[in-house]
Amino acid sequence: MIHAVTLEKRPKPPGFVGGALRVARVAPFRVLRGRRLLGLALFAFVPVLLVLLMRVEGEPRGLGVRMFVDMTTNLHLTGIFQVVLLFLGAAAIGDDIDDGTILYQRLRPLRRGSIVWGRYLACALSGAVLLAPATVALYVAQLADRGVDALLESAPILLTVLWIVVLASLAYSAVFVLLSLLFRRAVLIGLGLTIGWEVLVSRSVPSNAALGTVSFHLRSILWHSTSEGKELGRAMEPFEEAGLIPTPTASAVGLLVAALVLVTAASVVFGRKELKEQPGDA
Amino acid sequence: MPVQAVTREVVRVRFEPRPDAIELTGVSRWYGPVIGLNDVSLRVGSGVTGLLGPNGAGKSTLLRLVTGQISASLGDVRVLGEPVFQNPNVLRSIGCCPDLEKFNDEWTGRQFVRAAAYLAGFSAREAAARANDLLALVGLADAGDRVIGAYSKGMRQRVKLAQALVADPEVIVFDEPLTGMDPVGRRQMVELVRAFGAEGRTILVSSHVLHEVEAMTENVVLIHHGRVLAEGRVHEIRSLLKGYPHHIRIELEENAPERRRALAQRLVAEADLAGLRFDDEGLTVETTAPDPLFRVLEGLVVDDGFEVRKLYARDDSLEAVFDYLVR
Repeated sequence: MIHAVTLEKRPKPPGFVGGALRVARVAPFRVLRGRRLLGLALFAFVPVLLVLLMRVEGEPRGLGVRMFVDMTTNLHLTGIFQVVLLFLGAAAIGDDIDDGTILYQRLRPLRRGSIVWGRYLACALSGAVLLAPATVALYVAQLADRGVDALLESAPILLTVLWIVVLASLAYSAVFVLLSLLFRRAVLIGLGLTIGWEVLVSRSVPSNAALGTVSFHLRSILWHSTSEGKELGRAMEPFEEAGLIPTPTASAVGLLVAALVLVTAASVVFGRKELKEQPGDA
Repeated sequence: MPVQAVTREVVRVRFEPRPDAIELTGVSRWYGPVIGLNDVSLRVGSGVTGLLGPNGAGKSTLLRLVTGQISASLGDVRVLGEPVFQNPNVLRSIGCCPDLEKFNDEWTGRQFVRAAAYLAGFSAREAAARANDLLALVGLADAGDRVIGAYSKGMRQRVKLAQALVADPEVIVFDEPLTGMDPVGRRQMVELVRAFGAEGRTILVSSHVLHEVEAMTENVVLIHHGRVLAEGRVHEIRSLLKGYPHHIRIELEENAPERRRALAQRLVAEADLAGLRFDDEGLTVETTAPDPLFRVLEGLVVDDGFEVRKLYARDDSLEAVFDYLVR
């Protein structure tokens, strides 16, 4: 039976990209299981629940695309996306580092960078898969009773918001994966970053600092693509007057480049990281 | 279901013997001001080698270096002739059964081993087949679809073994492989390790349970305070410990005091003894040269009719060697 171990030929180690895709495929996401998944899904669907609540409370119709854009601006882009992606990002690799189980992947013939990239991709994909239905559900909840024509007429706005979901997933996953590699309490630090930097700075007095936030770029893409958001328009006015709003292309490219840089930095950190190594273990 | 019996099989040598499958040259590794390993030079060849030392001796550091998890602060670590740190080409030939209690408990054993195989470079289908074969080998075929969180300690140990074997590794590192296993499981694991060694693989087993290592191999590396104290076969190391005479116990069939006394007189006259003690059952002699003593004893048995019931060296064991060197 020992011959069961015998191979005619050992497989070649996966290359960098192949390794990352393999890791992404098997990345165990504890957060995407059980109660935590339910909690995150509920959190992502809070705006939809609010709309349904308003309907129960007497609002006869959905409030249309303007309300969809306002809720996207004030709820999705101001907390919900960040929190969902923060938990996913922290779980993507930080949890496994904390308890040491990442060792089982580090023992495989993989470049360490490909482990980080694989988990990052899995995180971003999971985030998009969780947030996109919540976005579509909100859109449908606001417009469905106006008929198919209304849904189709405003579809470009929905597509823009879905593009924002993709960008948000890519950018925030990179931020939070890096945070989880740098700090043990990545969730707490990530919450601080979300509130202190992403929310306050991106909405405060117009300055170049806002350009360093993800949420400002996401809002500016939305602002460029629609005139429907009343509150969004009001919030962006001072930035527009200061000439600070980038083009949608510049924002998208900027976010993608930032994600690339952050995940590369995360790969370097992970490459040097030693697991739970106390001299007492030595 | 037990680990599959391997002792009845004919084990074929599958790997070219290598005297230096694992090679450390002048390796030091420190953690801030604390030294984990201190100027260690070591060669580990094909077969089973036990890595022994008390807690904090540097065993874990050495294993982490050999499996490419950490880099040396100084010196060179090579496995199969290549630097091992973050080197996928070498890692594909190394299997490691770590001393880690944690798993992704939501996974089944089959998912865990399949993922290990998939990440090692197998296609998804091959990985699934590989997982089935290896789970059968370690006796988890029936439990493969249960979540690891529900496994006993012994079953966890087996599933770790299965993931270590996915790529048919030439070098296998075991860190405390028998922890949590029942006696039958331990015996089977020992047999399996020995069979791997007989195949020509290079097996490094770290343990602090000496008799278990002794059951797997005669070949050991003793490590203490980050340094290699001794390496080689237990008896060779023992024979080099000149400062500690061998204690050899002799019990006669005819247990009359006068016979014991007569034997003692002959031994004192003819062998080089450092000491001698009587008790009701027999006598214990101390000598720094056991082989001449055994030759003298052989003569006494053949020529003078002393019938020996028991003859054994009390401190020629791994435990004794370890005690002398470490404690």
